[in-house]
Amino acid sequence: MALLVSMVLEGAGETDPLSIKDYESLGGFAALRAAFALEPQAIIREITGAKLLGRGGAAYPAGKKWEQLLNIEGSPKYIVCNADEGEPGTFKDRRIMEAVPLRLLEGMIIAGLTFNSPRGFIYVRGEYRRLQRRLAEAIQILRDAGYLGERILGSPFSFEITTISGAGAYVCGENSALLNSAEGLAGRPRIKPPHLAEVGLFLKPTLVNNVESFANIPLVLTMGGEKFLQAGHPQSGGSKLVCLSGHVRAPGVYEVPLGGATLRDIIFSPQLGDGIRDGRELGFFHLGGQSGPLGGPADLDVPYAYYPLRERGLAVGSGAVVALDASVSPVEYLQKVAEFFSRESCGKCVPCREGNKILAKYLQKLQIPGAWTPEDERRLSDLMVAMRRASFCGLGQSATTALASAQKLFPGRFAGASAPAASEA
Amino acid sequence: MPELSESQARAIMADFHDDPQRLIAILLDIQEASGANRVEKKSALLVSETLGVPLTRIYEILTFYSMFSLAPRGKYLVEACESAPCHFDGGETTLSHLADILGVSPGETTADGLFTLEKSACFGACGHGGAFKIGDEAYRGGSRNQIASVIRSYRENSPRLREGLAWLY
Amino acid sequence: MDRNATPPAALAVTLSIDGATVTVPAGTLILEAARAVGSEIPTLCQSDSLPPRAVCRLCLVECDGASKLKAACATPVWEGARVVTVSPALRRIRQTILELILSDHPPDCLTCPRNLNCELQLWATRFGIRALAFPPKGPWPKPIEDSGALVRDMSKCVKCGRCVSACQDGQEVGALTAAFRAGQYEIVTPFRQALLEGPCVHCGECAAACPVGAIAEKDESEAAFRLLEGSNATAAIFSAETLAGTEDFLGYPPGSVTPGNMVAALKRLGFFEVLDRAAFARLAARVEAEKLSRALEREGTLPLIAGCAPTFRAFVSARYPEALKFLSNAISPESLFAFWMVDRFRGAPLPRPARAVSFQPCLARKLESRASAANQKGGPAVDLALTARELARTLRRASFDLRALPATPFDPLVLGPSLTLPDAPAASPLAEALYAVQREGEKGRPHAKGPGGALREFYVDFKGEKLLFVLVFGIQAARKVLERVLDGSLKAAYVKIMSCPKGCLGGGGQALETLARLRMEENGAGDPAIP
Repeated sequence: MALLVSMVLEGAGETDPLSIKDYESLGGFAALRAAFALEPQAIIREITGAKLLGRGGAAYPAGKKWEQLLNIEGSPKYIVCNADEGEPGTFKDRRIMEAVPLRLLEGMIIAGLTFNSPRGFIYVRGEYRRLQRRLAEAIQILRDAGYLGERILGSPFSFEITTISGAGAYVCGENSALLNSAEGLAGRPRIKPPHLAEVGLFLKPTLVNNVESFANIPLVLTMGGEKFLQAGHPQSGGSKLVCLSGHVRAPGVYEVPLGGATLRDIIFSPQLGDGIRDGRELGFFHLGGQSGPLGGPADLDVPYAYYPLRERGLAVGSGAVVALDASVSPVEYLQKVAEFFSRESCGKCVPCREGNKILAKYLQKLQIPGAWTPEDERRLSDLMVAMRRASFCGLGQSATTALASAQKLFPGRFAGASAPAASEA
Repeated sequence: MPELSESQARAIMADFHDDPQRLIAILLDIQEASGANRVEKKSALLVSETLGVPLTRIYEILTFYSMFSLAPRGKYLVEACESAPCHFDGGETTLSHLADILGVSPGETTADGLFTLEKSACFGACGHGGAFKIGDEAYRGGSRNQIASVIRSYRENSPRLREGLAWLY
Repeated sequence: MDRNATPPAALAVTLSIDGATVTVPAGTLILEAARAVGSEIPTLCQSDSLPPRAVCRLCLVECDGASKLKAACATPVWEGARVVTVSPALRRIRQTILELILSDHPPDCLTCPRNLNCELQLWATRFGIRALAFPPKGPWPKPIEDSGALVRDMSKCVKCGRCVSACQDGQEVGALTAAFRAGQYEIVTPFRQALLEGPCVHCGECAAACPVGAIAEKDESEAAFRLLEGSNATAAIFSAETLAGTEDFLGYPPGSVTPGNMVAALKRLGFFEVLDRAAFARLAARVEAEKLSRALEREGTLPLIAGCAPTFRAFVSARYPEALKFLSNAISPESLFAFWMVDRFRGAPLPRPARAVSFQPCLARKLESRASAANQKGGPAVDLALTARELARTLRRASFDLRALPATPFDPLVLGPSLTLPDAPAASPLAEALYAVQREGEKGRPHAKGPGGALREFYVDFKGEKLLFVLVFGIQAARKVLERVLDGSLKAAYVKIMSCPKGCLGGGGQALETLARLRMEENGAGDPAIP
């Protein structure tokens, strides 16, 4: 298997992102045309067979999600694309929207067709204002060419796509918070049940998928589920856009076939990260965003794919890989992570709002020689459990993932037990 | 500081068909048109009345989302990323260069009212040194001179000077 | 918006909670089902009369087969569920949550208005919290007293959001909101404006909903004692509904405190006269009747809409300004009482200064007192308007059992030739009808879900016509009525709007114990707020 592939990003940088002709010359819209001849169940069968896992971070099987929505009574059903991309270290959706927006739109139109939905929405983070305009242009171009609007390609199917802007809130990446924001409210998550497949946008059944997930849909249909699966890993087909940043020589977006590259390849291969700058050693890397786990040199030979990483206690998450050299203190790094969460918490639930504040203080205390006590250790442990198990939504629930993984990876740095016990702060 | 007129605000709302669902987009446009990069209470009251939404909902939106400001800001909002991937890759340096060049601390506006410096969370420009953003445009981290060029490009309205650090793939 | 899907009717669900099997209607929340088997799950942000928020996270329970904990206050039961509400892990988590709340809470219990009647205190005590894992540090924000009636001491706020829910979902007034994010998350008015600047009707539903001492009535019971010390001509009136509040607050059986007891008790405290508020209410009804009959004759703007308190005008002004022309500036029993108190000593040899204090389960009345910042009109105003809660606290300071006091009649309301009242018109059937509607509003509808509903219609014969009088409970219902008035679909002569959804009996100034008892009776549920 090659280390790099060109599937989701085929044509990126080489074609005019807004040219239908360019896109069609690469096979664009063939999937949509084929989809018109398929029953919704057949479309979903391909997606299930492809073992396409959600690319936003949660990795929920797309086939299962689409199947659930198909079986839900109610109309209209809405298609929502989560283009909030707030996870630090992640910039792949930006790339897709800038370079191959028509592939994203084709995927959404196929989804619209599958569920006989009249409307799709792309919720784009407010900081991507330029991209919102780019998408609006692309949508207009598709409307003019009959790929959107009334009676698409002469069929009875009509579908409109609108872009909706965020305004700066990481928590709006959480699907239910996103829907609240899309409705013109503050982006605080919703109580579940009911789940948003049943009660979603404007209380209607809704599909929410990530940009990269939608962009993969045309590929699944043109290749067929079986081939798509083979292009990746036996338990999850297709490719993943990896966002490499930190102290590597060649940061950027790299499309790797799932299972076809290891973490070592990603960070060190000359085709990808090209190793750590300035002749330094790798210290650790942070996978999947701030809410993902840390890994170290001992993990480098794990294949980059959902299940192998999960088995190792690591994760794909959003696809972010932040590689840091050995000069970076993991505790200081995690303090920054905790500060991030403490600012981005929506604030409404106790464990996340209060917990993240205190977590950041504890991580500060861990850096003061001699300050850390066994009592602090116990309290930190209780706090982490409460945050992980009792937070209202995924933000709070995963805010301690990085720290928990670091405690295993660098036990010496987090114990503080060897230092003489200081008096209570 | 001229802030927008009632008719300007009404025109913005009309663009969105007075639809309360588009409240966030409406408020962002009002903020942009205000000239002070913020939404003032007067505008919020007008939106509340015109769209028929309670003032409380508007205030919650204005205070919940990072992009909004209640207090006046400079014409150009300069945001330095403080998230971990940038912070450990030159982010502190970028921030200190910006503070030095502009002569203000984060949260402050330059005396001529042109620039407000703020720290921000990740805006998807990772991997090229501490990134910063001016308005809708993202920039890579660079040397003090390079950053100063970018600032000058806004001050003098000469876009060519920005190309050096413009964030590209 | 209620996002909980409507449950199918008439389906029963059998599940096990803490090992006990129970069958309940489909759609029942785990919290309610647990009460049925005697398992009391801790809650802080939950209220039976408000939609679930599930933000305090105290009510999380373990469910067999689910890896994640579930919020009992917001999760409906399902067939065959096996729920555990108490376990070592849950206890640890709840303890940590309480410690997190306490990490941002001033340790001021002894001087807090909610000492011994506070839900945070209740759970902290029950969980045996001794050392605080995360000690609280100030500085604490100062209490906000920008209305004459409510004090918002946000240092005590636990951010449960019940007040916001009561205001936005219950009343649909929208004076308060959650704002900001993360560590700055707070409950606030828009742009931090004074409550008086917005649509707040001062119903006090927020204070009634608050589990702690963050929003409370401005306690002027100390001021009442000072008044009594400084004058031997202080008179009082009280609302019949304060009796229930006093009984519940002091822990007496319902019905054990009579009006006669209350008159005696107030005199013991030093009030030189205690008058029947109802007498002034009748006079007020006569004044209103004059207005109504003039409006009827003129075929003027009908219906005449009367809020129960002047603060209702602020709401109409903010939200339905086109309806202002229907609004009647009702003269309240309190202002008539105040006028009468001042006037009665004209030429009479009784000692001055004369003072008037009124007691009712109403928060908005405070704005009609001289002490209130809002009262700038210079018209007649009582010196102090105290809520039922303050009355109960005042009585508690005394060491007598008021039930044992000899029943004492009200002092007569003397309107001699030397005393005048503004526009004191004669009694009339219209006045009696208006008074009757007012009384219905005061007696209230204790059971919001029961018969009677938020709207009651009365037909009154007047000069051969049948006039429609509408009595409305709560601002949510009031909004619908205002909209119908504005679109012309309501043809009524008179609309009386009670700000409080349960009427005066369940008013925002009523004793919290009474409000809890009313909720319990309505829902058949346990309420841990009552010790």
